[in-house]
Amino acid sequence: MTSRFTLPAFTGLAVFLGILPFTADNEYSLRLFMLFTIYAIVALGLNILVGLAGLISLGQAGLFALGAYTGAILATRLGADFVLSVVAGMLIAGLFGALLAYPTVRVRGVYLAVITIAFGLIVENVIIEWHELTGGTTGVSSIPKPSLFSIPLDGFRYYAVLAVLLFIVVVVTHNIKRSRYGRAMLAVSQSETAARSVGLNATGVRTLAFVIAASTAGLAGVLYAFLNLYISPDSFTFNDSIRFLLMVVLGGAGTTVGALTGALILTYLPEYLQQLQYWQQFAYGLLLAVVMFVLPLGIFGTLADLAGRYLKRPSSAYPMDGYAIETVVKDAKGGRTSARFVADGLTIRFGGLTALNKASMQVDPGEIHALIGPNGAGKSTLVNIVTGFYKPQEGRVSLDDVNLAGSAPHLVARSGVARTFQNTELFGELTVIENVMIGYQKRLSYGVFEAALRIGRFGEEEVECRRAAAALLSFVGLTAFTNEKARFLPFGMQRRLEIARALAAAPKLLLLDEPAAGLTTQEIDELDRMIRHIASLGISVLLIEHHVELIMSVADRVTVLDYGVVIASDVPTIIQDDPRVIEAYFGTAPATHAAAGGPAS
Amino acid sequence: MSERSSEVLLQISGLEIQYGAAIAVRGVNLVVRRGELVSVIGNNGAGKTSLLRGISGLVRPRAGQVIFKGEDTASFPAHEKVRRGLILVPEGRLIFADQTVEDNLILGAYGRWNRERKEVLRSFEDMFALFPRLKERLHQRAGSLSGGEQQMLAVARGLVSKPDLLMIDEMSLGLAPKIVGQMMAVLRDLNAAGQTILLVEQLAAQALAIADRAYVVGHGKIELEGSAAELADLPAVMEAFLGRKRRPSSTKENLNEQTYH
Repeated sequence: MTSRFTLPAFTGLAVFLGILPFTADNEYSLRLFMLFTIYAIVALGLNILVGLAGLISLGQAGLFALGAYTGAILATRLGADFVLSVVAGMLIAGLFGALLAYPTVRVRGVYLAVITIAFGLIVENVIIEWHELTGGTTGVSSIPKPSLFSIPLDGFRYYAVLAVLLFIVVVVTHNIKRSRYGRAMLAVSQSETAARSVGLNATGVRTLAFVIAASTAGLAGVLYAFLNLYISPDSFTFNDSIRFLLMVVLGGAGTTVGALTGALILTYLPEYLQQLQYWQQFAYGLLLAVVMFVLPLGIFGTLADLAGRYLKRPSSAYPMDGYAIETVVKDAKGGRTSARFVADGLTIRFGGLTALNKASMQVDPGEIHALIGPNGAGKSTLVNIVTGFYKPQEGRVSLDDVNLAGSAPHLVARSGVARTFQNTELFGELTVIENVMIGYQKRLSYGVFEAALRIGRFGEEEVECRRAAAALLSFVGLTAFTNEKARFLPFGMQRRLEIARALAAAPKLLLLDEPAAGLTTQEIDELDRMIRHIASLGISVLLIEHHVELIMSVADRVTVLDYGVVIASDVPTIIQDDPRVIEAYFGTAPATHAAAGGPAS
Repeated sequence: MSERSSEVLLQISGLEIQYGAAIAVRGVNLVVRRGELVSVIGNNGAGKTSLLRGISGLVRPRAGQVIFKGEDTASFPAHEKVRRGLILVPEGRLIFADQTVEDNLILGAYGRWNRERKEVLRSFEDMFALFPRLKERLHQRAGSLSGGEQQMLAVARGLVSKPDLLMIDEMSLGLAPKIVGQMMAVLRDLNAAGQTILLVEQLAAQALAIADRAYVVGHGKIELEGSAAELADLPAVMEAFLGRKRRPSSTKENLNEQTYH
């Protein structure tokens, strides 16, 4: 959903929530509707985890249970009131959510799903066996009726509280989705490598997603306990976890309206299917299978995808309002400090293979320095060391005398190293401008609460970020594609978009990994001018490249790697005539009978 | 170059390819005769890769014919085309990184492996003669190969299926000049030995140097076609793809230009 639909959608939801109770002709249908609001809250939180962060949890019932039992136990044992129970339930569930996020450091995908299943099973088992606290299989009964400011919340009053809370959760999750946090989650799920390279702490981002999904589940759990006034382990089984995940997937992961629709359908469907008696499960399963087959991205996911394909996106460029590349690449203090980059004595071995052997090089402030060498010479390894993806066994990498060797990629990025990728690593499902905005991410300072409520620095900084991104798109000539999905761009433009994203972080050192590969002569001419312009702004450029003409034209100095050893480092004209470099890299006469003797790389 | 039979191996007419609302290929006609080496050159986004994806069945064309060995294969899925001898070496190589070099080759010969194991093993030997590096690295994980070795493997994986037509997308991508020269020489030698090749390449000069005929693609259409030698002499082609680059000077006026289109 684009933002032009947001306000009508929120209004529609408010009207829907306001009118619906009047259609309830008995206690039971009102209760069913309250159940929907509770499930919808779980689904909305889980939607952040599944739809944005791309992680699957099959343990939401465990978190739902933690909320419910925390609330119920506090209310029955300690006489805590409704508000305190709600807050405590959210806190406890959120805490466990953070713990559950820890395994994502090493476990992903289906393996993570197994861990969340295990978590759900453990919670269920503890609830059953810890009689003294939870009442075992008989559960907690005689939970006091909720009241707010000594107004008893029964019937429609409790519904009103649920409806308001649901509305708040819709707004908050929607706002987070449309903030730097939402963008960060999408970025991490689409390309973790690229996300870390722009300075995002992938583990931190995933933890936030887990905490949001967990605390909303906890909130819903408390609300459920106060609706039923009795809870038992039966309501928190693995089957419930599956149902929560189904709500998100059926409605369309990543879409707010999808999560709401999924919750609505899966709350009411079983009621209607009860008429079928024995064939209830069969019909339920069949319906799910058919819907997912016809609409593979879920109901609203598929609709949004089709709309994105066939409706024209608003192509209007975002106003730059005086922003230009020169202003954007200045750091926060308003000045630019050019930095000296030094790699000193880098050695790294993989098994028996020494990929780099005491390799040293230096890039002066504002210099364009090319790094060349045959395929397999160790260039990619060097790039991976400089950007923090590999840790060298020996040697130092420093930017202005700050040692970076061994730092995590996102910390290297934050200290001023930006990069592009050989095979392009864009966030394909995000728009062109959003890709650049993620590059700007670490220069934004507003917090989660400011994002959730759209207060404080949020508005100002978002505008600033968008303008800077628009200015960078103009610099690389992609203004006309501002709102296209990045994956639809042709390869040459994807490369330019990567440069814009890298510049958005206001780097001191820009690392371009084969930027000319796959470009035509004209495009290489443009790239040539672009690189000169970037260096003229005081940014040091390390250019890994095979295009000889570009290197000879643009580079101030050239370093040549062969078999992990630096064999030459000098100005281009000298490098060009160096016999060792000719032998190792240029080859004597291209397109001759070289193949007959076999490629000797 | 090779002067061979005039049997038409691949004939494409009126090919159109569309992704959502974007039209990538608009009515392309193209012919490859048996024994030829045909190059397709053109700018980024011109539709070259889409054209190959359409021919190979990775996307289904919206309209047009892809007649291969006398049969219209436009609606066939990719594996059916492979079975008929139409092979694509994809852009970016796309080797199976987690499997060994040997496994990659066996997968390349998937259709032949059970029927003619001995001949397949002989094809492997041919590949090792062509690319001795692959033999040295036979039991290594393919993902651990250098960029040049990966491209050798990708081409070898295509060749071991004994294709009638080998299509290669952006062979030079990310390769050092020396390796590009070697690979181009390999293609030329393969073609001289009778292999029909359709090469999509960004390095127009090198592609034209080894090709019999060539097509220039722009905006999803064929803009020019002819013998490679003729095309290489055309001013339009020289300026766009070949000509000695005019060096942009690094004066301040240039630096003040804001945009690069």
